[in-house]
Amino acid sequence: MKRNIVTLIVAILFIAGVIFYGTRGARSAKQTAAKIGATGTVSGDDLTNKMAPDFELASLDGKKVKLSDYRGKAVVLNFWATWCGPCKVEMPWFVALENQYRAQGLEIIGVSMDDGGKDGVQKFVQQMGINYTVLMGKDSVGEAYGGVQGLPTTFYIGRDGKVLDSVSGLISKSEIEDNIKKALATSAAAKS
Amino acid sequence: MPMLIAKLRLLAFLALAVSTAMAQDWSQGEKPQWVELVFPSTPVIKVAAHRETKTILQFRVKPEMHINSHQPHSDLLIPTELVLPAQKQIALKPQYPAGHDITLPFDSEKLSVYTGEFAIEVNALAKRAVTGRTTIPAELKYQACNDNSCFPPKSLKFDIEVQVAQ
Repeated sequence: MKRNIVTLIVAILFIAGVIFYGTRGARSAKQTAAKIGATGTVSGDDLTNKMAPDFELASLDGKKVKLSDYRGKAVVLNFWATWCGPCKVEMPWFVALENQYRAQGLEIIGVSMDDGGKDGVQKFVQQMGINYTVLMGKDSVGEAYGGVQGLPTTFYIGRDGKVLDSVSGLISKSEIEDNIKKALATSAAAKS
Repeated sequence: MPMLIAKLRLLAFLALAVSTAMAQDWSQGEKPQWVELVFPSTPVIKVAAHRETKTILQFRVKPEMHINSHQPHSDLLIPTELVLPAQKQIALKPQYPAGHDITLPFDSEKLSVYTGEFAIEVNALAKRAVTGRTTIPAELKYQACNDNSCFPPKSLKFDIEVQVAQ
């Protein structure tokens, strides 16, 4: 009799624990869904203050480029596509900012999420006068960065390789410049 | 004591039922569509032999979003297209509405787009005198943006029933 009661109490406590942690998980899932909201994107907030996921992608001239090659520099990682109007608006700003801050250690990297192959991207990049590194993106890299859905999506990465901020959608040139200055002000990680 | 055990059993059962129900909340929804088919909800195209018929498909773009029209002003932009697989006995041809021009806050370039509700007319002609029904898979391909972001091309899939009568 006593054993039955104890068993039932343990069962109830166990199920109560499942409910408690389950509501926390459901709340977290809802918060993530709320982040997605009308734009359909997760903003990449989850990467803030974490190491930017490393990747290896091909440049337009066929070279293999890794993000970690740029450790020690302030990196602007910009996901874009040729069919994205807002992306086209900010590209001349990136060109100007690359010229202005390159000597201080800025590196802008454009990751094209076009599906149609690099020829169209190459032509577009030449027409726009892009002076920074452009890489051909892959879905796996987009997934690593929170599932880049809305374009442009831009990550500001410090010299230590950590994500300082991420922005989904077009913002003003001055806001971009402010983010670049913050990234340039970071220190490279000390070698252990 | 038996009453206590019975109550505890009931409580355990209720707790299990509640936790199971709440587990359904954890599933992630599908990624959103920016366009929906509003009318008809189950499209039917009625075709008579050697006589062309027209069927209207009404779509709605989500608020604050726009999609490129069938003829955007730039060949870099992805047009809206209704894809209807070729049929041996029936010729199906979509007729698209004209887009309307918008300019966005950040750019002076004009875009030819669909917003709100728009209709695509499907012209159907039976190539020969046959009767019967068939279901064809249709696909509305589009690419949507809002005022400061653009989203990858999407495809809205739905079935159209085609009824051919004499």
